[in-house]
Amino acid sequence: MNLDQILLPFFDLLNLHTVLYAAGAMFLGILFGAMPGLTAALGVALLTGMTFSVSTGETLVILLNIYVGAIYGGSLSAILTNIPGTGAAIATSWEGYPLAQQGQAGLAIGTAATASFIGTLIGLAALTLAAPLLSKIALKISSPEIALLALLGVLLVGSLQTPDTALKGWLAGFAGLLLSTVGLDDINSFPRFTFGSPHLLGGISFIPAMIGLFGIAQILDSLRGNIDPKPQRFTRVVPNLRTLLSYLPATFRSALVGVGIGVTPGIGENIASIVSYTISQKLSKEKGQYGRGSYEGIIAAETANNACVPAATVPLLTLGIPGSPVTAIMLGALLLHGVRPGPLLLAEQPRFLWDFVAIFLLAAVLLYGQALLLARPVSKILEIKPTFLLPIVSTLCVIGTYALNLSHFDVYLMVFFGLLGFVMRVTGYPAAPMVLGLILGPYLEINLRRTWLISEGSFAPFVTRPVSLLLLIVITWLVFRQAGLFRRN
Amino acid sequence: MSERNPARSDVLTGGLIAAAGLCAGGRALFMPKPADVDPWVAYLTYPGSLPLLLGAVLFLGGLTVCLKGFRRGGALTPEDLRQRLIALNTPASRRVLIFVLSFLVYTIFLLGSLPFWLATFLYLLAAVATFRPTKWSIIVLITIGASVSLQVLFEQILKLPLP
Repeated sequence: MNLDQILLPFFDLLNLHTVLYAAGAMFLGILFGAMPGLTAALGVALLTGMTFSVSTGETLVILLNIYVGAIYGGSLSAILTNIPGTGAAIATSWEGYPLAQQGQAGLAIGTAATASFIGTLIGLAALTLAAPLLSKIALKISSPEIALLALLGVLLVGSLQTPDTALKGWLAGFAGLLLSTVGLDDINSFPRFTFGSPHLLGGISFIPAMIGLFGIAQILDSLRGNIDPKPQRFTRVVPNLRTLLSYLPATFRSALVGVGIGVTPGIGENIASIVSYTISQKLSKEKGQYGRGSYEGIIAAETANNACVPAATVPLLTLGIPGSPVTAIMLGALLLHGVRPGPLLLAEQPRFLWDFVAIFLLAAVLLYGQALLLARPVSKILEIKPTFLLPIVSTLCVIGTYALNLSHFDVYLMVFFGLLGFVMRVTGYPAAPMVLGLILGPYLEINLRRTWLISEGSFAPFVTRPVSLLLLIVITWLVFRQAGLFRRN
Repeated sequence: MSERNPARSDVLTGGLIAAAGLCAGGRALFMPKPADVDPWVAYLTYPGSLPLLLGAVLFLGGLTVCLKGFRRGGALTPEDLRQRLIALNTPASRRVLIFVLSFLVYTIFLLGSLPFWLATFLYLLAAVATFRPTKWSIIVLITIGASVSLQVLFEQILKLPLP
């Protein structure tokens, strides 16, 4: 590898044409991410077809910028309306919305933008420095570990996000896991809990459930209470340097979590942000602030989910295996352009890695710039009378849900989950574990059954593999630590 | 809110969760199992294995919540139900109910039957008018503007199909 191969990609990007493509894609990505239901995956999928007429380089610029923008964009609606724009912003809503309620929406958005910027930079450093090494480590994580990680995720979130007893949080999580089994079973294609409905054969997508449980339920809950607009203070948007430095350990830790999960094939940003947030909450010196508006919580979630983005391209480039659902779509886009990711790609075209690095660097800069410029105008949304805003937001929820599969049934599902979410709020059951159960259920089930099929029913893989054993110990500790299951939080 | 209220809701919700777990587990138990493998492996890997396990957990967990609710004095009586219904007759509850009804009419009946902008305009008009935030003329202007803007933004600019 010579210096030309490293530097040329950066210089190639420095032309007006490319920067405009990148800026436009970034803005579109932020918009897609901010709209509940319009996910990063949808944005990338929609534009994949449109990039057929442009060069491979420009395709990468567009798709990677949309990806980065969308993952950040989810935090905007999470902070302003408590409705995560994407699954990766669920944890952000837990801290960002309370801050917005306190008139701190601008600073919350600025913190999310800063964390996203830092996360993207650290993620691309990981991409640059450790691509081959990270791929080898990721290959050691297999079915038993992924199944236990999924279970741990549901248990952690269930115990941390409940306003009442941990048992209620876990029941919500297990209900989500059970709902994820609706539809055709992945291994035998046996229809489960479909009640003869063809609409349920494909299962329950977590997007309508998330929009209903968070979006519609939030709207109904807002209608119950004080519906006066919240005046927003704009003393600053960018967090001060001292604040950022005080959260530096949390930032690096969160970035490492994001990178670690990103390089593991098939997991993705949704899980990265939740895992990082829960770890941060456990280790924080400001535990009491979590759930009431913790900037550290926002940093933990947003750094991880954006660090996950470049890291998710590591297994894509080096192994040809997508690191996240969005990179799975990107694989299709690359194949359309005659690029075959895999072990030979970087050996034959080492410049490819540096193309990605250069594009991510440009994306990080554009993200921060656009995010800060948009922070104040976007925060003004909170000053619109809720009597107008809430019904319009509910319409956006319908549009976002419908856009997923062009299905009215998804809209009906969203309504059902919205009503369920409202009842859950009133009776003290958290919605987040249910959404996480829906997301993680397929990972848990397929990897659990695969493990048992291969081991012929033996539990040995869970105790003889080091990472598995560690996860099992953590799960056991978590369950017994909550021995006051019936103690109210 | 009195201690009895959470206790009563725990009795109800715990019971419902236990019932749902029992039904799901029961249904999962009778899902087909592979015939050509060891019975132990069959039970661990058949399509109903995880639903059966989850159904059992939900049944036990729901029962626990329900029984704890009873112990805290949450037993439901017809008088409790009557008091609950009376308590629903507040401005906030009426707001929620009217919004839910208008949203249900919008999503189930209006969308797909009328052009999107018209269905949305009618829904927004009903939903916003419930609060009466300002004069009727302004409400109509804002709701029609919002409906048309949404249609143009998503269908014409972003090229996203609308219901």
